[in-house]
Amino acid sequence: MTRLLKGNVSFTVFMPEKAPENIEKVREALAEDAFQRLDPTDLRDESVGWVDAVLCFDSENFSSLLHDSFFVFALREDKYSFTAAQLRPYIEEAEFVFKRENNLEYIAAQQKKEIREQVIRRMKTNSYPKTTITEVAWDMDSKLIYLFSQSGATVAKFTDIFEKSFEISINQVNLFDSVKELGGADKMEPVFAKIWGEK
Amino acid sequence: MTKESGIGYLGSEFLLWLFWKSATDEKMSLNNLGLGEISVLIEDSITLASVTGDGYCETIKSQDITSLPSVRESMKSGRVPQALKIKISSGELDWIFQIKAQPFKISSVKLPITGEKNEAEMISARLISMTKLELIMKALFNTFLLEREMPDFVDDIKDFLGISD
Repeated sequence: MTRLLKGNVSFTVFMPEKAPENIEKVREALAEDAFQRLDPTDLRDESVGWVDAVLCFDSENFSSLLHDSFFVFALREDKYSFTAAQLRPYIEEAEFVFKRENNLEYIAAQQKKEIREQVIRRMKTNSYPKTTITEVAWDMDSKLIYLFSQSGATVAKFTDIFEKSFEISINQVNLFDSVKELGGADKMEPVFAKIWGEK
Repeated sequence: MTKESGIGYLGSEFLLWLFWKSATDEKMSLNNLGLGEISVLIEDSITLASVTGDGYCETIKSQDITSLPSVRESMKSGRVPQALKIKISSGELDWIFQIKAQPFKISSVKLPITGEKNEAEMISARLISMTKLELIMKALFNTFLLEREMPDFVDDIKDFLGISD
């Protein structure tokens, strides 16, 4: 269930350089990089794009887009990924069969690479990609954007795709920004030294 | 360069200030920022680390942490909060979350339950309460920044911790 409805949340806040003109512009931007489902025969191992925040299979209608002053949507990332340990038995088996069928003692490096790719394709056909859904809420009152994640990789991925889709640059907002607003850090001194250093 | 470069110490100072306020002020006024009165309560977890570089780091889980003599003694000897679980209340709304000094961030926010039955209303209520928490935290941090520049700030904290000159 979407974190917009239930559960504890951790989020990262961004300030965009400008807000979208209207909801249609938001729809257009989301459609630009709408999520595209991965096909097992696809050469890509991952797909990243926008989906509806409540119906995370929907990347066309975005029926939950508007909530009061918020635009809500989500970043969906599907990724096929297999560890070396997962691949090992199937690659060893495929190589064993290949050597026996072709009466070979060794397999050339290029052939090994092809066998590995065949095995991965077969495994992709028999499994689902790992899916990550990260909700986004864009407050049109404050203009702030809330990304429901604090993972560095997700923040980087979100920033890239957001700036590309909306053609709006964004900056992370931090409580420490107040230091600059209130006159800067230059005149500040840590107080701990004054508390514990003067004993 | 991160935003915390050179001022990372403010995270621990802010957590110590929150601890102090939760132990001494039943209510805090954020009226000048239009946010009314709030209360800050340290919930059941605090992580203390040494400012003296002796490598001490301990997480204490207990009810009524601000009243625990062992926590006060630990802080008196130079161990400051690195992480807190806190509850902020404003009117009938309560937020419970973790706050860490470095990197300075809040996480695992339990948003107020406001009783909406309709899904769309629930989403709106949760988003509005999240933005309110963001405003409250900014107001609290600004209040801390202003108070730490007051002439009596260091002496007041020393008095609270029982550190004599």
